Amino acid sequence: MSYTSKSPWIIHYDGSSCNGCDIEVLAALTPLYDAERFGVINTGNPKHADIFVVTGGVNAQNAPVIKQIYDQMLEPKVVVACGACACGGGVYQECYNVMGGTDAIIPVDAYVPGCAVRPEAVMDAVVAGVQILEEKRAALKAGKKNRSAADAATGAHASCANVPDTPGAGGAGVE
Amino acid sequence: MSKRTVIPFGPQHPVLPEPVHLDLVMEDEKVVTAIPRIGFVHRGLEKLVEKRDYTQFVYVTERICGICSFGHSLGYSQCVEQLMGIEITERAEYLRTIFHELSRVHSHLLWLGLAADAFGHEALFMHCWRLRERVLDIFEQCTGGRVIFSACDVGGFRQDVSDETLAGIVITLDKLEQEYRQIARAFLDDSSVRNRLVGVGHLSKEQASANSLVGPFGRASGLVVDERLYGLGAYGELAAFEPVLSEDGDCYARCDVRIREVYQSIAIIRELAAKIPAGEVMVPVKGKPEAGARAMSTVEQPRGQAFYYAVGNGTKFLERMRVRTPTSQNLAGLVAALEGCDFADVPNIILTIDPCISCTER
Amino acid sequence: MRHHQTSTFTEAEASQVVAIASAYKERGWEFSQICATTLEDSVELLYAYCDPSYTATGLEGVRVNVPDGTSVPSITGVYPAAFVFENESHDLFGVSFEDINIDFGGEFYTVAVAYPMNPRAAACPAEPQGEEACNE
Repeated sequence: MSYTSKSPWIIHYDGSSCNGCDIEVLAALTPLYDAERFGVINTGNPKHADIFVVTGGVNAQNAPVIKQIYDQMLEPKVVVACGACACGGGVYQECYNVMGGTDAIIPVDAYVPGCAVRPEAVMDAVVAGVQILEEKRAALKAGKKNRSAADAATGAHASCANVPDTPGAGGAGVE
Repeated sequence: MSKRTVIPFGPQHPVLPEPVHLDLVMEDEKVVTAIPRIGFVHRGLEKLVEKRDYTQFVYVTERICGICSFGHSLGYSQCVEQLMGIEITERAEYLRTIFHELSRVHSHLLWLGLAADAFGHEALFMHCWRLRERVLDIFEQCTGGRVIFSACDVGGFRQDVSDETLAGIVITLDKLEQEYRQIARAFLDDSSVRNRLVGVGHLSKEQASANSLVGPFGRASGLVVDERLYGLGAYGELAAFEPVLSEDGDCYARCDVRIREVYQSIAIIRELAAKIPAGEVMVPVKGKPEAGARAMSTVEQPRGQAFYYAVGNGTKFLERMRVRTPTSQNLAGLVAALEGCDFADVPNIILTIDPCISCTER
Repeated sequence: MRHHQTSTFTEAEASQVVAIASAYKERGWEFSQICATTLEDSVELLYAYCDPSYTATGLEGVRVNVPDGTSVPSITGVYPAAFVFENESHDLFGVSFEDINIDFGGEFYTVAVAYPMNPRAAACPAEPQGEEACNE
């Protein structure tokens, strides 16, 4: 990434993970791995965040929450699916209450394998995410100049599954 | 009477690493009552027992929760061993206990960090997690995994850990303990920390007993609840075991109990590593659980008593596998502790029960 | 000295659960959990209690058979912590309880399938229990 690239702020949501990946995502931010040297800050506010880190699979109850956090984030944004469950359901894929990986609900830009993921892998993904973020930003910029170009660049994101809004499932709390 | 407002709390909230939702019924700044709602992490693991046989299911139980991963595989293995009448070797019992206590050190350090983060002490959070990495290094060295490491299996401990490695672990823990003392001082003596914790979320011994609290949450209110008192496995070989208790019952006491438990765990590991007997670590596991055989087992996890119940049906698949985790038992206590507290203290109180939601919902 | 844990099981009727819970409470025992198991034409509930003096036989289970279509009195009046398990047994197994202290009315676990752990209950879901979940 170039030195002018943005400091990627991340927001983390635990889908239906076992915590293993969550604590590894957090460990990536703590002194031994220190992702903060790349300017990464873990924020609780979707509107401040550039990268959405999802751990764990998706179920009927958290699907609207994930969708809502994704929708609240401002463009450009990148989704990183951390761990086997977020990538495709993992060990729980045969469970009755698991719909699958993050990409069942929102488009995913980077998949991080592992059960549980290792902090090194999380950092790799975040750094890769910054690159994608830059590309998206460039595309957005170009799109402002040329509307039709923007449609082509963001067309890939029109493939989101439609999730019915279920009231009462709880909104994304903001600090 | 002032007007009541309901404030939804969670599931995505900066203080919560995991999703749990609370409806806080507020009267001005005071919480009148809190109603938890769960199910965000529910996967339905107990039904997976129909698709995975009893040896494969160890891997599933480990993934009930990434923090108490070892504790779950231990509890499940103990329960199936009781069901099938398997007698494991002494060395395996020692190793299980040592790794279980190491997990407790890692879990409590993790919790101390999160608690520090909840009351706004970022530096303390970082220091706790820095120390915790040493324990994870031990796991990685011995088993190859950092958080989920598949060391425990039905029939014993999967891979022997040499006596030299155990001596090395004790040296690492000695160093860790010295640094940990400084961090513990920051928690217990710092006036700003005390201001946030003392007297907050108080539960008396009677309330703790009425709500059947388990683990450090109960012990902080003076309740003598500690499954290690059963003396199962290598816990029975300890020269002495006294649960860590406090009488105060507030957030500060819960912090204090967990801080002292880390010292206790390190002492247990030191004692067991010095007298671990030589021998095999695995016994061959043959046969199938009998139809109608049933067994219950409990384990003291970092968060408290975990309960396991298994029923056999004559095949290699279990008829029913039940895991009851400490947090689900402590939910009633959480509701009681939140009643009447300030809104600003809600994150603190939620954290001091050390909630493990993915455990609770399985 | 190595110790072992043993499990003791007794059987009881659904109408007796509150009396049994009170008896355990009087003896000073801790409530451990309730769990359900789907049987052929009923659901079995296991009430587990543990002895706070931690003796090797300090874990007892009371098995209660609940035929389909019947309900069980709640023990939350004796052990309030049981509300978690009673709501859970209702949401996942379709067992109905009477007078739970915090009754979520089927909204405790929101699952994609109704009563996922009990195929019979899932086939014919019971009557919905009131719109607003919680009795205050």
